[in-house]
Amino acid sequence: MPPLPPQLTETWGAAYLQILIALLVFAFGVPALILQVTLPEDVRRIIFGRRRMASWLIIMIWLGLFCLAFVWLLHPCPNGSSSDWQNILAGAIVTVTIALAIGFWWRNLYTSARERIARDLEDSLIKTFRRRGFLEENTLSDLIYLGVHGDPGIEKRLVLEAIDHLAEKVQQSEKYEGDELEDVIRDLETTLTSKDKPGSDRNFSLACTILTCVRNRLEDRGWSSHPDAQLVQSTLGGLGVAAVETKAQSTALAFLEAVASDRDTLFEMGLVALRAERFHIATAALNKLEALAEFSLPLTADRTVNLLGLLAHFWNSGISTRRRAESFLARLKDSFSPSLQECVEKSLEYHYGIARYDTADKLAKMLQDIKGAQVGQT
Amino acid sequence: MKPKVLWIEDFALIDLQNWPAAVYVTGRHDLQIALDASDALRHLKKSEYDAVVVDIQIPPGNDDAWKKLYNQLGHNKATSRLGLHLLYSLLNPENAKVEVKPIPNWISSDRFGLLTIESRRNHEQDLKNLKIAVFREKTAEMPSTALLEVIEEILAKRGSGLA
Repeated sequence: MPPLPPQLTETWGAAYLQILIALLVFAFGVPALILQVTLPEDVRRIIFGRRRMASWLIIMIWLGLFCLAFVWLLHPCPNGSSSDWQNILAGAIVTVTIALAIGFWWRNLYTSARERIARDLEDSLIKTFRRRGFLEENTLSDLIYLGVHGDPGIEKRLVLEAIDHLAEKVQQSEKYEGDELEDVIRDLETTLTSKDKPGSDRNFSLACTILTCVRNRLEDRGWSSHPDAQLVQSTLGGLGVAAVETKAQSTALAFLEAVASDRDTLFEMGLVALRAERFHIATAALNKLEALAEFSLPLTADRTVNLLGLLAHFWNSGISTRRRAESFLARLKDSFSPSLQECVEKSLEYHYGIARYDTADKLAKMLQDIKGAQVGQT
Repeated sequence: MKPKVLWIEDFALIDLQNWPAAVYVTGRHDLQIALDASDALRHLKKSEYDAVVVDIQIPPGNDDAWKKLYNQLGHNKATSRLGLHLLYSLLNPENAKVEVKPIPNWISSDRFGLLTIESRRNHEQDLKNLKIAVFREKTAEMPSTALLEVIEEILAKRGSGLA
């Protein structure tokens, strides 16, 4: 004969109650304290922000049911005459409470891994997009929060990879119309250029690859002028300038390759590089600007404002940089239309008009030198 | 117009980042860089190049066909030699392992050259099949002007019709 379950006597009732109270205190309170102390602030904020309400609601409901059951249904009988179902219910309450506590903490520990959180957020965003055609703002904010506050290197990489997958899935979706990734692209820059925790070289390189892939997919659809494509271009520019200022040469060069058709960004990157005496990058930017201008001759003023601006900085920076600028002008000075002098004057006005006074000054100096050389020749 | 040049080399921005500097300083060429087979193909389909310098050992990039071939050939740059397979796809499609469609109509053997760590001895037959005349072996003592020299060799041979 199987052993009988314990009868719900007063002693057993008190024991059950003690177990349950101990469980509630230690199973939920102590681990919560441990998580509070051990989890990074950003991870904790997201876990508790997204899941705490639901979890605590379940616990409170369970606590309510348990009290109700013990007070109204399972009131311990001093003579042990409670019915079988009461005994089973009492046992079930304790067993389920233990299972609930274990499940709650297993879930919290499992999901507190940064990688898991990033993947969950990514999945949630993809599901919402497939269902409703837009990216849910709060979830995206959580993902970006994780990226901004994550340490450079692996922690930021996890978020960047989630963004990469997200962008790919969104762009593959029929609901994608070329402007749904705006926030994602904008936030990518925020993730890497946060003041406290800027991205590492590898993070920057990965972002460059992600943005280039987004742009390639847009180009494949013939959507080069859609908002996302334009934003990709400006973000590549922003990150490119940041890379020239703070990252390794290889990282900056990767961005330079990615923005090779954007004259404004090439000018910015070239100028920042020249000022930082990163001559390889500066010369690469100048070379690309030259190639864009030379694509069709004659060289007109509207296609050479940035080129001449950067050339003027080369011209006035040092002996060797001036030599590099002179070699271009020596080769193509007669290809300017209507003339080199007039193109330099227009470039000067252009840069003055957008408050790039230093560039305008350098152009004025170069113009003076060119005029002087012409007078010398005559 | 500057001759347009594509350099397909995965180390272009890392170990060999000084090599393009010599090209930029002369200001004579519009140099672009592709870091893997998929990236290279994208560049080649998008623009016409006067010279293309190819490394034999390159990674596949994002494209599924190149990734598949890379995995089939040992998941290793040295064993998969995707640079060579890329050249076969473009210049000798009958013997290619990855089909490229459409092949840009400007593609011709005289615009391509190899700059690789591998020995020429091991690739005589490939050079014959692909009709490529310019081959330069990368060595540790090589000066940073090596890329410029290869580019100018390709352009010179094209100009003189020797390729």
